[in-house]
Amino acid sequence: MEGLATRKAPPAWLPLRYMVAGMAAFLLLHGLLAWQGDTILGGLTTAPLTLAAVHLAAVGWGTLVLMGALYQLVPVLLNADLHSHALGRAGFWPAVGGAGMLVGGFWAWQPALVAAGGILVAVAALLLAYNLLRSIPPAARLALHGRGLLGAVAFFLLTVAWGLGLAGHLLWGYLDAMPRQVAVHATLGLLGWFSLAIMSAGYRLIPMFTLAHGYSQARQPLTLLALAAGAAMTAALAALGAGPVAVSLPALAVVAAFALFALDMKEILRARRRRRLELVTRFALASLTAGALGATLVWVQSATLAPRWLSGPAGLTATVYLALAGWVSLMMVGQLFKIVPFLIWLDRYSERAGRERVPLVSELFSPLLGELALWGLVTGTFGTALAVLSGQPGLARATEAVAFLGALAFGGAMAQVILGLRVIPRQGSPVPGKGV
Amino acid sequence: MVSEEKVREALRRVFDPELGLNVVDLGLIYGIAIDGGRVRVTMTLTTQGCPLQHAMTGWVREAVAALDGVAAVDVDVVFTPPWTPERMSEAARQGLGV
Repeated sequence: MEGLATRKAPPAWLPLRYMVAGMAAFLLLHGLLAWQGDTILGGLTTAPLTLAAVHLAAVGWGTLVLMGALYQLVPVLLNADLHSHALGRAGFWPAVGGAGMLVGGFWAWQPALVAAGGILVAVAALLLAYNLLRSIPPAARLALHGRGLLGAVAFFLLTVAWGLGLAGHLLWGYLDAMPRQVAVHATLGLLGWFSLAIMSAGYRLIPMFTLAHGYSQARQPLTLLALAAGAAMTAALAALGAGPVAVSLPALAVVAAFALFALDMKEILRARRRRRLELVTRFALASLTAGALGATLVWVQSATLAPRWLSGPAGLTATVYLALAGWVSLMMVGQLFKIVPFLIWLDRYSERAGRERVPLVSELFSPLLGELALWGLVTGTFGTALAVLSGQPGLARATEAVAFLGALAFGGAMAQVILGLRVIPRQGSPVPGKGV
Repeated sequence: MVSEEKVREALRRVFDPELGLNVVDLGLIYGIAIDGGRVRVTMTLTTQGCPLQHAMTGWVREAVAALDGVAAVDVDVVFTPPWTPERMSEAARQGLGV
């Protein structure tokens, strides 16, 4: 199971602290959407509450979880020790504080607080980038997935830098075309940071989780290149004010990357030896569906091919929602159902295994909670996207309530894992380690 | 005197905590060599750089060292030839639903 931890990986609680904070933000996000979803998803994409919710999702949840995952994964992929555990721990507080200030600053519409939050997130991003780059051994040849993850970190820095520029505009007002620059910030973050990281890590983790063997890896470099180049060029052309036809060409490369990734995932799943589709796989399939839909919507909107109902505020809101709550969140939730129990197991039981009866990794949380999380989040997310597109706020409130229940089930399962709350079945379980 | 069969039996009690299957049925054990009281186990992992490598080799060493007549245990982890699911026993395949 390369990709989670080896002797090269940092102590479990270095990445876990980021993941736990991210999961708390995820619960807050779905609570907020269930409470104020009709306002947040009402099509006013730059309303304070909407911006607060988007940054709670993108920074509080997505970025914190991804930072934790990178602190765990990259040293393993590099086959090198993390340069500094202390810097990794030090980056946690600016990341969490920055996320909180961004959310609070947007909610209360305090541009100075937004800028201060952005600076703190920039500090955390720089610490992450520095730490990972210093971890690369001299003359090391980076594997494709490692290069993809480091590329995603470069996009993270660009996203934060662009965001700081936007925060400066809120304070001093120097930009002419604010909506276009917001779109650049979102493109860098959603496609460059989140999507490149998810695809790079997905190519590594999903075959491992499903025990897939004998599938082709030939398309993987092209997929990651198309995504990275497409994201960078879409953002650059949009920033320079290029017309829709010019922007739609690199956006088409992004759609192609999603199609290639979907094709690869299909091949990996066909080559899997674990026939039962585990939670992580079903979450990945739902995420991929949302990602493919979202990427297609982005292209249709960028090429101005969309009918009015799709290109208006409701269409844009639904696209951002599908990207963040669907593609990014569903993939992350699925992966966390694997990663968090595994890290906790290694931390809590690996030394005890063989000396006493310990649970299996899969026994650390209730399967029922896992299923409730899957069905609640998937039906709630796709239902909400549909409700937003069709302009039915009442339906959106109901579907967001369903998603919130799914998020609670996810939070409950993770609490069982982290706090050791689950009563472990003692009968009939094999004993990890040297049996007793 | 320790025998290969006794070593293999001891290794059947070493489980992968994620898959819930023992290392023998998973097909991870490539070889067992016995030279007096010294036992050398050659094994692999389901993928290179498995997170359990350190823990798993420790459990294998402990399980074999506990046998009567064993004075020293060496555990070599190799990835050539790579593990494939075809190496699993029928019991393991059923356990994973392969």
